[in-house]
Amino acid sequence: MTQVLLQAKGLRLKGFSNADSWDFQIQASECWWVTGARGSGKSAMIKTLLGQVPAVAGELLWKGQSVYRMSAREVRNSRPFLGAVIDGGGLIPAWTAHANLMLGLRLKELSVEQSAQAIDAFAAQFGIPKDWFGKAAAALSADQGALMALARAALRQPEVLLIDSDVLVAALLKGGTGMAGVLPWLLQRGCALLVSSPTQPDALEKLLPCEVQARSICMNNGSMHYVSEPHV
Amino acid sequence: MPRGSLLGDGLEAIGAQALAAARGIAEPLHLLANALAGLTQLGGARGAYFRATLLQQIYFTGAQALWLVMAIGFALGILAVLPLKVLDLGGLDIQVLVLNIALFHQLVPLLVAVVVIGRSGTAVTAELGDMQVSGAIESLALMGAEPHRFLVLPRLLAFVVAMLLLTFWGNLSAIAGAAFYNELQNELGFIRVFSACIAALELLPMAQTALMVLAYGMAIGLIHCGFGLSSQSGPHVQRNLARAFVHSLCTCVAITLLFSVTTR
Repeated sequence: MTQVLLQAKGLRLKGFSNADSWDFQIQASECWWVTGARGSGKSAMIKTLLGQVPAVAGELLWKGQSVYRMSAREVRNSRPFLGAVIDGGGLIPAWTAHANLMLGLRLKELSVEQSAQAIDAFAAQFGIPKDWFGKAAAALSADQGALMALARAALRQPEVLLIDSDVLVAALLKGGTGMAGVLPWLLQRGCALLVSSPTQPDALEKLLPCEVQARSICMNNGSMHYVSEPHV
Repeated sequence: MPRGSLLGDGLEAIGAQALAAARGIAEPLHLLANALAGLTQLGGARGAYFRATLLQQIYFTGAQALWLVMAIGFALGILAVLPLKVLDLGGLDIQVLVLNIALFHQLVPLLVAVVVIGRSGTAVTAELGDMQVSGAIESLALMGAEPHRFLVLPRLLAFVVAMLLLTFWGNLSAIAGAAFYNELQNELGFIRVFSACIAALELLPMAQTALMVLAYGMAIGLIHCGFGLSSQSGPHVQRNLARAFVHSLCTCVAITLLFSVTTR
């Protein structure tokens, strides 16, 4: 039986007083699109699932453990299993892109040599231009910054990756680099994906190979509506 | 108390002010406690990043400002003895006393604080503000690195170390300035004034001044990091730069007053 990695039970989002509570769960190697108009609660949902914003009601479980009953240390120690790419990229602006990628790996206690090797191998596999690495993150374009943020998150090999960056989704759909292969690569390695975007699910299907079936949900004023069948 | 009445509105305004003041004290203390808790987690990669950031900040705040502090200290030394000469009070004892009380324990530390606030404090506010706006702080937390421990702690300690170093250097330069002016006037001579100033330094007042400078460093670090971390947008970062400058300058003046009144 596949392990449930992330689960929400009777969750109600903060800031949406009239929203219904909802249940949701995500398992290994699954991909979910979260769609909805601007202000519909997509980002609030992602922030809540990441444990950054507490829910008004309900329970959030990471690998079966209630997040709201964890100590701050337990939450911090559980972080490596969750990856996130947020709006703005989240790279340290004054550091080079390479230093930002190194930081992600070093915080997982990889040595300097191991981290550098992992970055080189990743860059070669997905065709990341070498000149991006030497630039300060602030000097990268929005697309490049978002793609480097995805690289940092993917290199940490999370078990669940939550993406809440319209710029990243647009950059991946635009193509032009080998980075489009990162999402299928992560799914192949058992990582679960939750991608929030105002784009329609049909358009998002281009991001995955034909054989992978993504499921989708639609957010509306803080309430969740399943477009695909929910887990039983 | 009915809302809308004069007394009710007045009480509400006082309550709001009191709450804001309490928050103004509680927030830096929370930041300090959270940052200092990071001292227990300096192993592995976090320790390596801590050491690198600490040295980088000490270099930027302390070493790179040495020339500036030396010039200011030297000028202050001359400016302190010049009026004494004009007033015909230029005896060695008077000069040493004025330098000791006014310069070493008050003016030099305060002017060093102004240099540190202007050069490094604002740079830290801008840096952390940029990181907040770009989502880097949020990302650090999501990667399991507590931002107060990862970013604030090394900067806080660097401010304290740099302030101590620069104050020592500034005081030495002030003595040199005063001695140089006496040498120029062909009166007491460089070596005599320099030796007398050094001999007049006592351990207890020096320890009190060191404590005051330590309080400066902590206050500057907490205020500038706090304003940086509370920035929400680009224009907000710009506004916070000026606000942090004024806040830390006023705090340093208040600390000087407090130490001067209670210890001397």
